[in-house]
Amino acid sequence: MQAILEIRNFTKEYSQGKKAVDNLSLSVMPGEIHGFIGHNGAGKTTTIRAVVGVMGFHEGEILIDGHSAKTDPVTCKLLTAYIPDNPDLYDYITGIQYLNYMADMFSVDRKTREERVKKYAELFCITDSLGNLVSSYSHGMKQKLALIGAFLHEPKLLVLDEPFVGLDPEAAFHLKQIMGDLCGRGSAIFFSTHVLDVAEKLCDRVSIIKQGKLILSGSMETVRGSGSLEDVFMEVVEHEK
Amino acid sequence: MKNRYLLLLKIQLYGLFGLNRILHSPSRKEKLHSGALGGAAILTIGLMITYNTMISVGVARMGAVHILPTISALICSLITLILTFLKSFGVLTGLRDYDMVMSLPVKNSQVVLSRLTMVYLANLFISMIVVLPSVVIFWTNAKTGISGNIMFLLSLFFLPVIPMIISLGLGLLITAVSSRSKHKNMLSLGSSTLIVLLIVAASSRAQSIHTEELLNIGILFSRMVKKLYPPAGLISKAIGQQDWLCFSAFVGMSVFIGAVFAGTASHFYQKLNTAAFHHSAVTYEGKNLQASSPLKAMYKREFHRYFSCTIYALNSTIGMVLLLAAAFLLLFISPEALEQQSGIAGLGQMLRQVLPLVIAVFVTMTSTASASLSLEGKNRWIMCSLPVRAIDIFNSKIAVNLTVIFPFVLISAALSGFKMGISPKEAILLCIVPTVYACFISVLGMYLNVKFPRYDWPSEYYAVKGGAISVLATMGAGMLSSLIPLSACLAFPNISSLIMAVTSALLLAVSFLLYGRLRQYSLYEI
Repeated sequence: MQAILEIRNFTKEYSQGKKAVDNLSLSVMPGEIHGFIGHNGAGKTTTIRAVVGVMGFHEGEILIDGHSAKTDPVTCKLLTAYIPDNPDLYDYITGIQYLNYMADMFSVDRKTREERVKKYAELFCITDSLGNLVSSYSHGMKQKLALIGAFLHEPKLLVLDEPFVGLDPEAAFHLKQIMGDLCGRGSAIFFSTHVLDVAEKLCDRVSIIKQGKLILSGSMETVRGSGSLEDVFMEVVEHEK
Repeated sequence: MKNRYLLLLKIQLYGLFGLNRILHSPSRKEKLHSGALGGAAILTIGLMITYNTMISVGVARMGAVHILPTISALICSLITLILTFLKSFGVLTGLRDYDMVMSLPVKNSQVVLSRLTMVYLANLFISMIVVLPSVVIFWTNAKTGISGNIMFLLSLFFLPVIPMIISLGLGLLITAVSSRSKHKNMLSLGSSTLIVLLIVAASSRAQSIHTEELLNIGILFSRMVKKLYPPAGLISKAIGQQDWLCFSAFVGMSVFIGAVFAGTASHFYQKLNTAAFHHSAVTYEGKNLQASSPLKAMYKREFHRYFSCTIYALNSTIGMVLLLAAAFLLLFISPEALEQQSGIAGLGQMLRQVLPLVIAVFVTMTSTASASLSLEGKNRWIMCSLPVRAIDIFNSKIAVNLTVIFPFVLISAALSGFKMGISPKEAILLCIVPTVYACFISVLGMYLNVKFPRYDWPSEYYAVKGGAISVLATMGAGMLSSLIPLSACLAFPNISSLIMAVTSALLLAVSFLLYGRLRQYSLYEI
């Protein structure tokens, strides 16, 4: 079976020779929720930004459903949805205009977009606010709007950077449900988080990154063993010091 | 403890012209770019100073050196009035860092003063370019005593104050009034455009005083000044008669008006910003959604952006509004009246010949594209993660600029062409030349914004004006590209058609070249 996301020997070097990510390889299979954990500044966001095509890279290869993010970025982006950790959305349009815009960009037909907007907006309880300008939204509402925008085209790969930050408990619950549903339909999810309890409950596989290097990757059962993910994380991070 | 006003000012100065970025950026390329642009800016300032010096020398040779203070005061005040008004939205209200700044232990008055100081410094810079050459020529030519010379020099520090306050006051008034409306951006844009038109109309009215009075140029200017701006008359009298009382009155008036404005703005600062950030909430009722192609969706979104930001729309469209106003004005003035009023024989015929380039001058003032990428700011992750090519995004931004330009050009060209009774050959040039310029300025603006984007702005003002290199460079290059052939056509009227045809071909080639370069960019490289 072909991986939906395959990162091969990805290296990102910033000016002055500092490596933000060093020779990282991992893959995410269809139906898999893959947690990506590490300290602040470990290289999670750099990797994620390269995967979604927001940042260029020279060394290594990133494939999305077999398409190269380097040579075929538009196809890769069509298959992907991305939510950054702090989604700054267009303040000057209304919520519904933003969703319609995202649906247009991903060529979602009219009937499908109406159904999905209705479904997810009701689920996240923001239907009434969709006619208001995004600038009037709270951080959590913007997060919800960005999530709905990401779900509209049923991406094959959903990439989330700290998706639970700012969400109320109900929305976090629904997000987990939607993530499960998406994976059930063959999509894959790659997300970074600092909340290890969530990662432990949600993920099929987990990768731990430290100072740009992948130090552990595998199925949750294998990685966790008889302990908790938190124990393992603290142990490997301490061990690597 | 450091004065918090100075700290606030310092942090704003860090952002000015991206100087801090140049100082601390590890990128050699960025430093080289900035160095080259700095050189170009110094060259432009040098040219402006030379130009002003030449005018001052000319006035002195005409034996009218005594009117230099009046002319300087008038020009400086007019420039300050218009430029400050165009940037008045985003100086005191609607700043992105408002919450952060207001959560600091600072008084409203310190925040307001720091913002006003930034505007004052920018205007003082313009004042120096305009007034200093006149001061030097006045010193060397006028037989005024040392007091008059000192007063003239000191006046440049106070000349920008009153026009700056008038413009900022008007901007705040419009913000306050329009914030109550559901369509506050449109209302704000409409009223701002109207005010700019009124300022321009008032100044052109003053300039059209009967030409027979040209013999007595002193009377002409003193009348003009009295009509337009009485404080400039005061400074003129102070310098001419070495009257320190008059000078003190002018300084006192400037300081008093400035202080009253600062006090009033500080008092209402929070209220005004609350109103500016206020959004009227509506309950959304599910409607049928319309599907569009990605390019059309981006184009529509760009238009939302355009109308959402008064300073962006006003700055990038004012050239077109002025063009339309001039075309309408032309409908009611006969060529003979025009010649009589200007005192230039054959002006009607001359204007007919260079009409395409005159329209092109206005077109080159219009480039929404030159700030469109910078305005993405923190939202650019959306643009970068969308499944479209970079060139499609650029195309949508270029298309908005063309959409803004074409209706204005079409109507203005039709009106002025009809009024002047142009020949078929002239009509062809009238169609081709402005179209080529529209394409050129759109592509050039986009290209320069790709080369010099500015995403880390505290308010849209800094992306649109406030040292936005791409905007300044586009406008400068655009104006040069139209004014040079225009001057050539006026100098060699017999070959004006040839000059226009060659210029158009050249600009078209440059546009293709720049567009080709744009196609090679990836969004994350920008």
